[in-house]
Amino acid sequence: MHKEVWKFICRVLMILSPFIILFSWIEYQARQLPNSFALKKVNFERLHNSISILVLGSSHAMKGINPDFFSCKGFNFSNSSQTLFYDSGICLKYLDQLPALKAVIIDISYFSFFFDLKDSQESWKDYFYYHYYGIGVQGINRFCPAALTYTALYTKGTINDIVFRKLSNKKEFGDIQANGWEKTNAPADSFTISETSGQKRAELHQSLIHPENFPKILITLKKFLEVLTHRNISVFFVSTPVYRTYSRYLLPATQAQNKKIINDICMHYKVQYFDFSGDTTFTIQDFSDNDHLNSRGAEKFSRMLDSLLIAPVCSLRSK
Amino acid sequence: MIFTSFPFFVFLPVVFIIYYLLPHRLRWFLILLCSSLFYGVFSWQYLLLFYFLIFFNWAIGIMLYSSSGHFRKRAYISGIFMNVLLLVFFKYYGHLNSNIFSVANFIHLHYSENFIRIIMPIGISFLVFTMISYLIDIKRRAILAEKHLGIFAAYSLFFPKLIQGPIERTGRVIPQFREKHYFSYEKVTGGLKLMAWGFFKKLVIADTLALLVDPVFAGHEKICGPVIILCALIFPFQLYADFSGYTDIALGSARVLGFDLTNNFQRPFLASSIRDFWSRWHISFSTWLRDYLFLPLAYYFSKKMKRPAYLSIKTEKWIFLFSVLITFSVCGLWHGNGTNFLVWGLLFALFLSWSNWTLSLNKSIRKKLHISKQSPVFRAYKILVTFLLVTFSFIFFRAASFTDAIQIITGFFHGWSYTEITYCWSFLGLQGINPRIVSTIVISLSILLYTDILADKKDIFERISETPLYVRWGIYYLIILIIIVYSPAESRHFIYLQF
Repeated sequence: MHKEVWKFICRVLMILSPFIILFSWIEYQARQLPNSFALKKVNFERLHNSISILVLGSSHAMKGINPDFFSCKGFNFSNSSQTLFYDSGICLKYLDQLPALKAVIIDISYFSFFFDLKDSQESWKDYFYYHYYGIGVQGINRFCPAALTYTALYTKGTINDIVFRKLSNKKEFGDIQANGWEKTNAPADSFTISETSGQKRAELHQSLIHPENFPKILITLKKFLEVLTHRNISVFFVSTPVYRTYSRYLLPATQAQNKKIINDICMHYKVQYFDFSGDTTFTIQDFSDNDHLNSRGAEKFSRMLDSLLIAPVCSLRSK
Repeated sequence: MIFTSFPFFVFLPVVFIIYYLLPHRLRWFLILLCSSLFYGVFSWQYLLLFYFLIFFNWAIGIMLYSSSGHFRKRAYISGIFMNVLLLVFFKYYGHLNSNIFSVANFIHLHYSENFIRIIMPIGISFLVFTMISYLIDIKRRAILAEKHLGIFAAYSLFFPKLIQGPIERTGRVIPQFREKHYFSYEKVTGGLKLMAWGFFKKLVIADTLALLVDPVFAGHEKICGPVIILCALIFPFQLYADFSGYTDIALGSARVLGFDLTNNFQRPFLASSIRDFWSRWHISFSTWLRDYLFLPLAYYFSKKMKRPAYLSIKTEKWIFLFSVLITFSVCGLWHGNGTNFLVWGLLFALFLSWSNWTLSLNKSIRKKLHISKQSPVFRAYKILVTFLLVTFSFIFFRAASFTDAIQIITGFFHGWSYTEITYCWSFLGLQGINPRIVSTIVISLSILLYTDILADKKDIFERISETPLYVRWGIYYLIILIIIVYSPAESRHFIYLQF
């Protein structure tokens, strides 16, 4: 019997070893992939001692706010489809490593108060936050392959590209700068900015709104704001500029509801809200698509934010 | 726990190692514990229900075995009644609840559909069928009642067969719990090979076919006739690959632990008649229906119908018709409470009765045309006709409702123009159907059919074992590699999980 057991073990190892070796190599490569989560983490850990302004939010902030134009050192920790849950999670996780932090800018998009990644096609991002920042949402399956390995975080197409070394870092993962801002040089054209694409974009964002998520998000946000207030850190809610081809298709009722929620929060906490979503000084040349600013727009907007909010905070604290 | 889920790939090796390390007398306990864990992942509340059901049937079994007369009869009836009641309750509660809701709504009575929400416990049908066959077999004195509650529970909850069968007979499996299973290289590797083949069928073939079939059946109003027909022809293969894939994984994992379970499929698409099809398709269920429903019904009717003929038709033909109609109605209704499932079952009853009633007519036609029964062309013709009849019936099985099935069938005749077919393909392109998927579908179907044809003469694993070492290992590596590379990113649930 012992002979048979050894024979079995040897054969199983022989069968599995090429796959184990291949998997280990892919896993190693997957861990090295420079995605936006990894890049932001690395850059943040390099700069954390000097960061005074932290920017959080979705792709609107990620592409629209460039901390290079701030009067004091800033870092953009926003990410594509980043929810308020993760904004809060990231900031609270690193708060103790931010000795110079003076203000937090939180991007408030149309869907922010009602959006949870689990309701979108980007629910896979939950596992990226879990791996890279150690933040796990309730309901995340900690025993599924995506939670246990980095390989399972990616699609089969990406794994194929890893195997055949076809990945181009910039092309695949965006042009993320050392300050966390994503550079988008793409000039607007009639396809990226149009009534049709703007309407589709607004409809997509409408589909992300799930009112049942609101109570949970509000609790998270309140806890987050309490901590920041307690530490005497200024908080600004900001809605980034969006083009009219997008904003005109947003539901007025939802916008009014957003305003009401923001007003309530601003009343209870020391939070100021700045709404640039309808700012007409931003022209089509400032956008890369219907709801995202390009590099030029980001510079314009970041300078605007600086003069309005950041510079006073920086000067006040440095005095 | 689902066989294709990641935890199962950890669960089985752990169970396997502990199983062979443990002394024989403790192994039933390990199986009971692991099976409970396997099911508890779905729902521990329903696991308690299963424990109750097992204890109840074990107690009834003992009573049936040790008593006689009226008490025995009462115990038997109450045992069967309880099992059927539980199955009917869980299977039809949702349907009943929505009907109550509609009526309450109609008479303006406040009743929320969510008042009591009950989801059918996964695998309850298969457990109840096992329990019923156990009680009937004891009643018929075909088997002895199992006195060891632990072994009985381990057998009932045995994880490879718990969720989707095979529906095992007590007399076949319980003795295996008492046998000493020594580690056998042949048996364990045989089990692993069978599992690999099962994963291949499920993850590569069934899930790839689903990529085409699912969007077409879901949006058939926008699809042209030729594509609907194509998908109707492909669906039986998808179901076969899905369910037989599951069965192979179940049989393989049981074999790894030294157990032999019943094979549910014997190359069903090589069946040359509907009767032959049902002797090859979901065998453990079809034989269950035969032994515990069809034959008792036939026996009952033969006792009631004393005359040699009714309406100038032999009584035995009537008996067959009535028994088969009831059996297949139950078969259809077990699959679902929609009219489409009833029609699906009745269609099979109709086909079977037709072939039974026209047996002599067919024989005389064949004689007149000088067609030999052994002729390969005639066999091919019969296989084709059987397949087409099965395919037609399975439209009712796959459709969301009876109306949906009728719309699908009428859809066969629409959209045959070139522009409509081009539009249809572009629509499918938007659903993610690309040339890679189409080629995988063609290759998958070819492999499935080819292996079935090959296995008709000699077992496929035997054939592989006879090949030189490098070919054999090449095949093993290739199968694992194809499973990894070609299986869709997200595996779909097994189709029969819902039943």
